[in-house]
Amino acid sequence: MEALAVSRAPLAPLNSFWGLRSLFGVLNNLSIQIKASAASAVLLICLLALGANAYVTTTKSAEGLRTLSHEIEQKLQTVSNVSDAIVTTHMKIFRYVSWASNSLSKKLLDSLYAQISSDLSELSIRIDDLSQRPDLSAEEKASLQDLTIKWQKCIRQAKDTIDVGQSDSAMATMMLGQTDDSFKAVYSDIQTMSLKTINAANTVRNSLYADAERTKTIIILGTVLGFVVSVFVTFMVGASIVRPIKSITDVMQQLSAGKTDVEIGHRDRRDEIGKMVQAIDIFRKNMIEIRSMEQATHQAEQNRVVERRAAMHELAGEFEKSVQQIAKELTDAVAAMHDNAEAMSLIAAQTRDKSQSTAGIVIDTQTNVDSVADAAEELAKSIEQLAAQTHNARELTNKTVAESANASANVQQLLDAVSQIVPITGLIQAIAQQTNLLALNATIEAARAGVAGKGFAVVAAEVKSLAQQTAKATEEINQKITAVNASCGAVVGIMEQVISAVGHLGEGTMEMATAVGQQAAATQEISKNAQQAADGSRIVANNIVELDQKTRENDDASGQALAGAKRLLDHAATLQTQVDKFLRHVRVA
Amino acid sequence: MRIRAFLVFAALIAIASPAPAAEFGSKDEAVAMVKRVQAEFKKSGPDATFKAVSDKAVPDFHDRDLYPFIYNMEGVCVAHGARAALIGKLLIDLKDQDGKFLIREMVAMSKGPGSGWIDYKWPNPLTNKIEDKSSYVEKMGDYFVGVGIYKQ
Repeated sequence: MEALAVSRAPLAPLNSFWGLRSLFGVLNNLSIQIKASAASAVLLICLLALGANAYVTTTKSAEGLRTLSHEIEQKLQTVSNVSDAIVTTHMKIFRYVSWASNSLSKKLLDSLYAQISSDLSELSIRIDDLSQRPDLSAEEKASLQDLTIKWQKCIRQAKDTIDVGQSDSAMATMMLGQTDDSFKAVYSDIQTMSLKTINAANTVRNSLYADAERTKTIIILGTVLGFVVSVFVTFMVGASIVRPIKSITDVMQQLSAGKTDVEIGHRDRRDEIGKMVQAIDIFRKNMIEIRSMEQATHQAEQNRVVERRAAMHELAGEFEKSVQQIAKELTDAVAAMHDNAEAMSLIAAQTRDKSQSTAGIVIDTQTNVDSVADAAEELAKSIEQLAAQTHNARELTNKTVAESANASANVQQLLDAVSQIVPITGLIQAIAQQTNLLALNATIEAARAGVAGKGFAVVAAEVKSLAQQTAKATEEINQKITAVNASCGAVVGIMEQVISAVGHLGEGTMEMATAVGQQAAATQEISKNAQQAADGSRIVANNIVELDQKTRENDDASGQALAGAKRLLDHAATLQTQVDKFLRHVRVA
Repeated sequence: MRIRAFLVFAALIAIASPAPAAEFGSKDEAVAMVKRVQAEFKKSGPDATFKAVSDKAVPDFHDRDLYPFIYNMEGVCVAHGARAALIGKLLIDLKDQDGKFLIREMVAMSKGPGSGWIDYKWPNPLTNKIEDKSSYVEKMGDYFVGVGIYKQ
């Protein structure tokens, strides 16, 4: 509050001005952001204005200096050079006439003549160059045209003078007057031009100087103005922000100390401070509301505590009762469980022993069954081999019967063939008899013929011998055929006996094969059953082993159950103690 | 100083020998020579006249310090009895040591009255010194002709 009073004091006289008051009115409704940037904006505007002015002036100065250095100074230099050359040349002409009048050597005079001629030509070029400069004003151009005409006259007269001077120095002296006038006229024009150029240069310089002076003034004024205005704006903005913030800070401190009956000013402002004041007002109202709500809540809370304590006592009583009941039941149950566990453990031990002995027996049984199954299998295999051999025998029998029948048929055919030979032998015998008769006839005829028929008688004797031999052979053949027929008949008889025997053998084999087949089926059945018995006994053995395992586990579990029951008993006791303790606490509370 | 010494000397001679057949030409002789040039101009035309006037061997136009000079109206010297270097030169702006534009005055005299006397300074061909001269000038066609005496 003291600080507030101090800050308000210097503003009091300022506020008495209507203008400032309205300015504050405007400021109070601007946002702080705009206010904060106001001083910077003022400085920025001043800076921009100064910068623009400096830019314009500098550009102008640069242009002026360029004109001065590139155009005017150069022009002045050229004009000055022409002016100097005119004076020099003029003096040389005087010197020439003077030397001619005093009859100096022709060599010196000729040298000077050449110099003057060269000077005149050079001057013509310089004047020409000057006339052709692009930066000449119209006035300068006109005066240069005039000067050029004058120069033409001047150069003519100068040449006339030195020409005449070569032979007639007295006349050259006479002509110096007019030459002098011409040079003076040209020189005067050049001087005028030079002066004008110097004046132009001075004008530019003065302008540059004036610009520089003005810029200096503007910069000083702009800087001072910018400084003053920005200081003023900063002060105003500061005043428009700082004062209300201080008073708001004070209000907020009071609020935080719990005083809700403070008066908050600056409500009608439209900037952030106005909003802040409104927000603080809301805070204050909320604070008042919260305080009254807190009081109500506190009362309700106290009532609830008393009620709850009573309920708790009641609840504790009930709880104790029921817990004690449960604890007792639990203890009993646990004791029973302990007994059960012990009994179970005992049984489990017994079961384990028994299952172990059973397992041994089952394993022996299984070994026996396995060997039976193996034997049955081997038997089945032998019978199968037997059946196969029987089958082979039967096939062999069949084949033998078939071949015997075949052989019997062949013998029959042989008998037929032999029977067909018999008539042929009869024919041969008849032929042999006929031949014998013929041979007898022939012998008789030969004997009749005498000596002439002697040779023929020999042949007839031979033919008779042959016929007799043939009859004899045929006889033998018939005997052989009879023997063959007898043998064949015997063979056929034997064959039939063989076939009959083999047929009997085939029937026996067939029966044997059937019997073997039945035997094989039976054996396979036996083998299969033995296998199944082996598998069954194996399963039984596995089950027995598993049972043994389970029995062991059961044994362990019942041991654990026993231990657990013991621990449970301890816990039940602890629970009882804890419940008692808890209830003591609850009742005390 | 030289000129003054010379003038003193010349005066002494003039006093010492007052002979009628003088060392220098007289005004009448000058006028007579102008007339001879005019006659020649009429007779022979400009070119021959200019040639004769400029030729120092022609006695009619060269007598002691007397000689004729002819200029056109622009001031160009077309013939000169004593100073051939001047022939063909534009001398309208010629000025003597007193600042007198003598050719301009001669042109004015010829164009105006047509003839008359003009005083000015000019180098004497005999002494080759610049002396006071008085010339009789007369218009001659498009030209003017003059003959002058050197004042002693």
